[in-house]
Amino acid sequence: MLGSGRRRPADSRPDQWVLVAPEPVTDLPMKPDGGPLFTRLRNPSTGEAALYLFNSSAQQLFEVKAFHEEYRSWFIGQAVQHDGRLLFATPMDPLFLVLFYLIKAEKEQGKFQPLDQVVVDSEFSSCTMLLQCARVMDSLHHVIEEKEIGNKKFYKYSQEKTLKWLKKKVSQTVKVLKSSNVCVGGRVQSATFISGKQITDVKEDDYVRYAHGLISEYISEDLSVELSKYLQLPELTSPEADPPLKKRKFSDAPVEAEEDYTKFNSSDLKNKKTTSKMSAAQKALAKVDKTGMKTISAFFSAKPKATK
Amino acid sequence: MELGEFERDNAGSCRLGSPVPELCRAGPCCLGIDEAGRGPVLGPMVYGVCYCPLAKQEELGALKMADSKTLTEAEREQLFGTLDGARDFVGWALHILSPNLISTSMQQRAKYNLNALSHDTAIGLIQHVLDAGVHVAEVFVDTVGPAEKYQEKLKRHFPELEVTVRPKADSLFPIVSAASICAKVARDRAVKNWTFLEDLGDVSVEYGSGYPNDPKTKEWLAQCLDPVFGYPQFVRFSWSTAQTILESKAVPVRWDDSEDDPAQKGTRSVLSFFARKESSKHQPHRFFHERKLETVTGL
Amino acid sequence: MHRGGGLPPAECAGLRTTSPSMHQDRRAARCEGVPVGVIPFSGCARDAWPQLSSACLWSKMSESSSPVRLDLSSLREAPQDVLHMLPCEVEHNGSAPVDRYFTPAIRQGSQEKSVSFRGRSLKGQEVMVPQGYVGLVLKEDQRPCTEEEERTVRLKSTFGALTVWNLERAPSADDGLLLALSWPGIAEAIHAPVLKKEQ
Repeated sequence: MLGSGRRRPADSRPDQWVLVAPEPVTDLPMKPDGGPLFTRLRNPSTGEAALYLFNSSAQQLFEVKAFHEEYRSWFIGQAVQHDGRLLFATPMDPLFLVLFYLIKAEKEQGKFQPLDQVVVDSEFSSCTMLLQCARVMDSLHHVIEEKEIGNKKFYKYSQEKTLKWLKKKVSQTVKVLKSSNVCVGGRVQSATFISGKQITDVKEDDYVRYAHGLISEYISEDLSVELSKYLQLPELTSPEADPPLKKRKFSDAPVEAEEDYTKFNSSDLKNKKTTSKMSAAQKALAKVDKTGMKTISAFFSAKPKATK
Repeated sequence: MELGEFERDNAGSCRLGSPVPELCRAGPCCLGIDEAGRGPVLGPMVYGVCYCPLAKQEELGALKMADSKTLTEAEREQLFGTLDGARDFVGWALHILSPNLISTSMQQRAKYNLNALSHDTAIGLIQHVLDAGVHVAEVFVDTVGPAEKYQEKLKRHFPELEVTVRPKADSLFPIVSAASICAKVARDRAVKNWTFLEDLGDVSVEYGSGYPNDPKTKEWLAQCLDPVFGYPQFVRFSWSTAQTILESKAVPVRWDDSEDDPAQKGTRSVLSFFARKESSKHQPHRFFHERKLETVTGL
Repeated sequence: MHRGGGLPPAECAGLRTTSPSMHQDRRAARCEGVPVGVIPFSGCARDAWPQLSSACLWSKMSESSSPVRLDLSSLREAPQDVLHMLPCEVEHNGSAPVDRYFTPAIRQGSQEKSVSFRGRSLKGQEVMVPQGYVGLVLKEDQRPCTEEEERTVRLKSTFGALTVWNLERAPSADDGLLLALSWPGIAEAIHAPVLKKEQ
């Protein structure tokens, strides 16, 4: 492809990023050093580092995700950028992060403490900035029991209150899922099968389960399990439901991380090469009862169809 | 021959033709097809047809049409003028395929090779002429690829017509010579009047014959090459001459279907390592997976 | 100084270590800027991250853990840029004569835009940045030499819209970037404060 001696400038680290962020990210700082800051904090669900963004004076918190499709690059003005990702900064409820530390403190010490003793992390020292977010103090009462001694406040995690709060979060999420027409049913979105069931048969439970899944991206696995019980989500039994997803949440067995799910999203499968190895999702589909599912060609056939 | 439409937008394709002579509606006609500009790496490819009543074939012969390859540009222009003058019994039509169309067709996901493109263009032209009311009875074609196969293909499309596909038809049948003149004149004019939509600055227009084995043409290709964009749309990107220079001198570009290219196997882009950052214990919710949204761990 | 072959961890680059894991993190910090294809401390690196190829090693090391300040001082003067998201990977970072080759070739159809790039047909759709959001191009001019120093990115330009291009087929609302754009609205609802009163 290339001569071996040829310099490959695109291999050097990215030094430019394309970001879509809420307007408050561009609020100017009061103090010269008080501008917005990208920093790593502990993701409350995975426990690992993730990138977050504080706007000026750490007023608000945002999480950073990237839209990343393979084989993409940018033209930006009169230049080309090899890295074709589009970064999104979206509002993040700082309480999810504070909650992580409250729960940890509850496990390790189990007593009332001042907040600045709770929100401490040797690996992520910027976590203290969370306490600058106005929202944290305003919303803390949703997840704690409070004691006041002298002029100082002491806090202790309350699972009961937290579950109530999370349930409201789930409702908020269900609402937006419905109004945004997010597809919460029919697990496999393959272009060759349109599950007739998904369009007409999405139940309230499907929305709640999906919303629970989204909220679980921001809380620990244990808390997610508790929430599921609190919401009285029925166990998944039907074959059309989501075996691979369930496995991900509750087992330690590694799931194929190398899967290319984009093969399912192709709307022109006949031009794409099919792999000889079936993905987990394809295997699941092969086992699923497909009566009621139509093949896409059935919609275009000129011959009269036999109704099932 | 009014090529204004093509000159205004030379990125696509363009069909044009003479008015249909009344005699060609009235009585059975012969129709000849030929092409111009198949081999060059620059400029459009043109398909041309010419038709006249069977009863007027002698008069056509008197016009002394000759195979365009044997003529100079000036001679061709003159002969086209003659055809134009015989418009009471001779009609013609052309389909100009821009180099951009050739490049994009041949490089599609579902590859569309030059022969298939050529056949479809010829078939389309014949149909166009039929639709315009010409009473076509006999078709004579200079061959593209194996003669028998092409003849069968044309016969399948036009079972009512008598089809003759022959190599060197342009020197055997005057109606095909006439078609070849129309096609070649159109090709020459399109190339001469080519307006580059790209601002090429002070790159010279001394590109030689435009054939891939012409050293002057190769030199021009290397000289006008832009590392990101490659060439202007005047160049057929699908030609191996063009590809070779791109591969050695231009910035590599990967497409999702170029994984099939054996040269790219095993050299996965470094950027693919940005994905799969999620720990094996936690897979993100399908909402994110379906939308190709992933966690960022750092800038 | 990078040496091949297995070195006892304590001797690598003269670092004194307290624990193996600490040592590995320090090594990661020191290895920044190593070009692809070179595996420093090959014995140790393999022990630390046995699954990774050299390219992966680079990728992990390039994301340092120090915070990155966003310098907004150029906000007012920052120009508006025209952005195109291409359906191919162009292995280059640098100038490209977009307005000479690409922009004049764009054709507006009834539903979508068309253009060719490298002789391949692209179909595109203009997409607006969501309401209440801004598009920012951030550039890091100079990366500090040490891990500890705070990095800075400045605002290079802004954008209110971008064109997403797909190979041959027009982008659709239930795929790709257009689908991903549903995220900000959902995020806002998930992270909105819970009101005190039951709704």
